[in-house]
Amino acid sequence: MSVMTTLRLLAIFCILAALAPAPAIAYIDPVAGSIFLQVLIAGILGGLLAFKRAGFIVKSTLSRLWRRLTG
Amino acid sequence: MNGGRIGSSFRDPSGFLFSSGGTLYRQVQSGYARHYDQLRASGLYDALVAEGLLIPHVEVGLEKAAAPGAYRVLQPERIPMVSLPYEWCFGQLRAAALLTLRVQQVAITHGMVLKDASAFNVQFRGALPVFVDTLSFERLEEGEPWIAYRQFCQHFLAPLALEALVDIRLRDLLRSYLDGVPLDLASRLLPRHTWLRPWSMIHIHLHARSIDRFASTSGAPAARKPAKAAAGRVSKAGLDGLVSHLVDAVGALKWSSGGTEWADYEATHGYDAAGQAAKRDIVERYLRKAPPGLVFDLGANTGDYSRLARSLGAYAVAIDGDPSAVERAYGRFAAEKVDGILPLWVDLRNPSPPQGWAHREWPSLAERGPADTVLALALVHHLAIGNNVPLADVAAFLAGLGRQVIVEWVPKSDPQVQRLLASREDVFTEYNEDSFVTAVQEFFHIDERAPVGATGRVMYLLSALAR
Repeated sequence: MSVMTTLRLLAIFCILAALAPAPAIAYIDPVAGSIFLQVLIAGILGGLLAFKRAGFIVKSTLSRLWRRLTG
Repeated sequence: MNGGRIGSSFRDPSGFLFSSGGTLYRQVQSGYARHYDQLRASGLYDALVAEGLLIPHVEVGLEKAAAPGAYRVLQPERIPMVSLPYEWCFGQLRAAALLTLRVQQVAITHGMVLKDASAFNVQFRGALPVFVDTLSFERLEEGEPWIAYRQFCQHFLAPLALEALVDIRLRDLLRSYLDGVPLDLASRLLPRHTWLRPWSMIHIHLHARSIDRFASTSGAPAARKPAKAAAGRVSKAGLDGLVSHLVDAVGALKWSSGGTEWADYEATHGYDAAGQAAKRDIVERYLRKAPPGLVFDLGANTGDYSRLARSLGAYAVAIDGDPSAVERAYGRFAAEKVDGILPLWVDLRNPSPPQGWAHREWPSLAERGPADTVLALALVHHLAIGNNVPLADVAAFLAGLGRQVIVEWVPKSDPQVQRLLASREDVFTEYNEDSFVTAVQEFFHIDERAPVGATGRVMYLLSALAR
């Protein structure tokens, strides 16, 4: 978990904590809160996954290159 | 059941399970047609079945339909013994969680998504989990959030976190909360340091607060809007990221069973090698006399006799009340991909009752029988002395579980019984073999009686009396 990601998560927490009055469009259904959170975090988690995948590609490319150079 | 309809199958308008002539069917209703067609046409069904993730089915004629509105009638492969999440050990719940997430990942790649993420949608074929609700898939609409996210967290992530990070016995919350552990409760029970872990902070603590924030807000019905519209959009990449994060979270949760009295039982059961061999020989001989079928191994410990029953062609359910022993058994069988032994963590002093709506949603342990054979090895003294159950009631309990019983009589002089009596007054004057025989003859015919070597123990083979 990078520093940036942690900071973003903390920012989300602050946003949620600051939400004293709930939005006017609130719906009396536990699903609504669940979806609200999902919308907030999905972008970050999607970015995190893309970052992980890119890291994996870079790592495997470098290790392939290294094997070719040394093998 | 209602007209053959399975008790738990009433919530989803997409279809329902029903039983007819001893065969299980799933009726798909017309309203679900486009999703069902996409499940087949997209290749998702084939992909999931090929990976062993989804229960296979065959389509049968519509004349089998049990109610109007049928689009298809399916005959799914039958699971030999239905098990329920509140009977699973930690490893089983974790495996079921990872299976659900894997199914979701494969579904997303085929343009579909899970609309339900209930632990009840997973069953075990032996130690191998499989998703059984064929009607849980719907088309993935671009930008739509995952409607089953909360359900996944309640059914899987929260109980797994509580079991791993607080106490394994919190598994029993699943017996009370059939829709999973409420996230506000999980958030309150988890240790404070879990606020510092991203997965628990997001999916449990913030999730609970977000749910509470919206649910506690009242408003005029006209002002309410559907939840999906209220919250915004989730991209496909975001959905992938969410599911991947949940996979990492579940993967990181581990429970170390450690040593307990029962997990170490193999080394401490008091049998010498000759006694153990004699016991095994008799049990094997008795098992060979019975048709293989379904075997309930009560007090199975780490499942050695279940393995013996399996080797003779049975489907064995290895039931034990000790989480460490069951965890160890499950770990072994899962690693070996054993599909014929199902370990279950059930306290036989308080076995699973009928649960849910009108007592009919989820059947009791006994209602899922009867087994063809019940193994009750070194069990009776624990019930009769350890739990003060009269021998007549023990016999009645066994009669309710199976048609044939292999039961071991352990005399009061046995060191294991003496251990039970060490810290209590011996008020068990009725605990003797004559009383035991009188008790079982109420329900069973005694087919055989064999002393177990020189141990003083006796093995009985009983068949239920025709009633």
